[in-house]
Amino acid sequence: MAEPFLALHGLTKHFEVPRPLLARVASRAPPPVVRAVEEVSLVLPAGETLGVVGESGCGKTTLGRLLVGLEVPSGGEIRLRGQPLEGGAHARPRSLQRRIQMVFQDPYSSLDPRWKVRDIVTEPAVGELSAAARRERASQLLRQVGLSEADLDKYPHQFSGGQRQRVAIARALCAEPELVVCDEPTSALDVSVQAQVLNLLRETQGRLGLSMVFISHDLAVISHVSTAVAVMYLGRVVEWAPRAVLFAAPAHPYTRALLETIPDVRRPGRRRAAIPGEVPSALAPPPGCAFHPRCPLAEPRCRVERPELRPLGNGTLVACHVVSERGLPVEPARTIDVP
Amino acid sequence: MSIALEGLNVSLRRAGVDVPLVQDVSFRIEPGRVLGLVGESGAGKSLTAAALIGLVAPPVQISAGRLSLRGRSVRLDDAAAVRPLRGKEVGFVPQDPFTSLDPLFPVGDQLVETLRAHLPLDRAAARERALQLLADVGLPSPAERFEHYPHQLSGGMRQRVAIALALCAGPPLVVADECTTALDVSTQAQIVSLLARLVEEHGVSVLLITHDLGVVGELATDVAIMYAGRIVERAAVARLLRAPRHPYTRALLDAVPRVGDGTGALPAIPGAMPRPGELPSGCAFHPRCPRASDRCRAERPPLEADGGSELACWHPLEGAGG
Repeated sequence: MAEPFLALHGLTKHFEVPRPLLARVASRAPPPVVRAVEEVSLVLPAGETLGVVGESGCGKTTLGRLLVGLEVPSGGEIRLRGQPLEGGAHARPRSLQRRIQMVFQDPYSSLDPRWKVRDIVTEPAVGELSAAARRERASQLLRQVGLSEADLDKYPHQFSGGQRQRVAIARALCAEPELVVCDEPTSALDVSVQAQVLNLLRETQGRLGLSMVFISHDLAVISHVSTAVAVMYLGRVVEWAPRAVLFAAPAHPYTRALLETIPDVRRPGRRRAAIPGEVPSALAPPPGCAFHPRCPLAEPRCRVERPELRPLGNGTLVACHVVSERGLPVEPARTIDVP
Repeated sequence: MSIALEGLNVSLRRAGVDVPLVQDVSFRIEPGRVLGLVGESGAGKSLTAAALIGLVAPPVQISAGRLSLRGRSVRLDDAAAVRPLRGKEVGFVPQDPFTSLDPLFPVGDQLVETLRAHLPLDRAAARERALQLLADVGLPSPAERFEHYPHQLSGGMRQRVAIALALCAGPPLVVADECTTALDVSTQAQIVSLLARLVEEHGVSVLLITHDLGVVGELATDVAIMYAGRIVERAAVARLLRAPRHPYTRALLDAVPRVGDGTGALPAIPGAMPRPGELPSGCAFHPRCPRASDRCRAERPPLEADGGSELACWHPLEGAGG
């Protein structure tokens, strides 16, 4: 079988929480560990978009940072066209590393305020192009993202949030990547501008045949951009499905509850159902299925035995004992209205 | 008794020139009703909130505006008159309670302090009242949480404490500025139902400032849409979301991605909101408006009665039923 474009095998990232010196001297116990990403295995075909969705602390941002090499995995591996990407960005061969680029959430902190836009967008090509060629490349990149040559000598503060995100996208495109990881690229933007940036990403992807990993907490945005969706909860993927299947037949109780929490402007007066409780600490995830304390379907074994991702038969992979055994719940997931 | 804001004008003094930021904003909120004040960054919605709680500071200044509540009327440009209203008459729920709660004191003490600043209570009675308020906002095990510092609480729990603080003196008006924006969707839904219950139980008037039309649809009874410092449309929530009359309102609603809408291009609004001091002539929305005419470029449409609603547009969209 041909190697998929991007494949993650048991990708894991743990962070040790530093303790004060005295506590370290006093106790030999190992330091507490945040299990940010736990054994994530996924594949992404070329030219498609994997949407990664989850609430704060579910590990989606760490997953993106592992892909671009901003974090070094604690275990597992990432393969791009069959080639393993080992270690962080600096350990990877440059020719391989430049094939993966990132667009960050906050266009206010991801662009150096002291650099001109022309230098920002061509930074990935430093040392490869002459000054004249860089200038030419910069104007070409700016045109691609809907800015103009007049913007070449401006500084980031002269742009609005949406325009800055365009600059960030131009920078990501400079290296002619195959994979672009977008981490909440529109959550700092107003809705009208969010639509512009999402359209730009979509159009660019189609034109250049890019693959994307699109990380967001917003299921509506995810439903708009993705070809397949991975839902994360406390570091693990709890459900993976092609976009249409996930939104038509969500399987995991967490996915179902998340879908219930989306407000709908077309149905004023409707009150969404809340998921009871809060996401537990990643320092001490509950035993068994991490979602069991908040799950309406939880059974005794969910408290002790962690469910593996299993195929459901309709294209979905789901990590849930109850759904794997009994199939999709017919009734909408019971959600409790918390005062 | 209803709350009324009349003729609020806020401006920025820059190089000897007054740059208008909020212009002629007026509205009325009946008890038990929630007015959603919606707009994108820079529309002036948060400045309107700041004016109501007396938190506008130079070089930004209030040039005019009156707030009427409990049968009296206060000039908002008179800082000395506005200050005593804060907390007692106008409660405030901030976007991020982590920055508004004092990190050095347990949350219970902060509630007791606020209660005693506004109400004639001794420590024991204030403590009793504070515990009751924390239970009322759905904080799990309030007696235990009473002793906790803000950093020991989750974002949702901090927002519950902030709501308790805003309500503790029994103000007739509560201003909530993007109070669900920083929360995860599941927590957001919890806070929205909490606010809805409290509005009903306490009969307060709420000014809900947000950019999130979804939250407005759930919680607000009425909506005012702001653009470039002015209200451009105001209507009951169902009417406004189902059949907006202003092209900006329509465009804003269309730009929100929805589950199940497919993956085609989103109807984006071209361009960006004008910066303060760079307002176009006529209607401020005309450079981005598909219906703009010469009249829109020359003459600013006033905010006028439109059935039971208000509208500032020369070429409004046909609402449901005309």
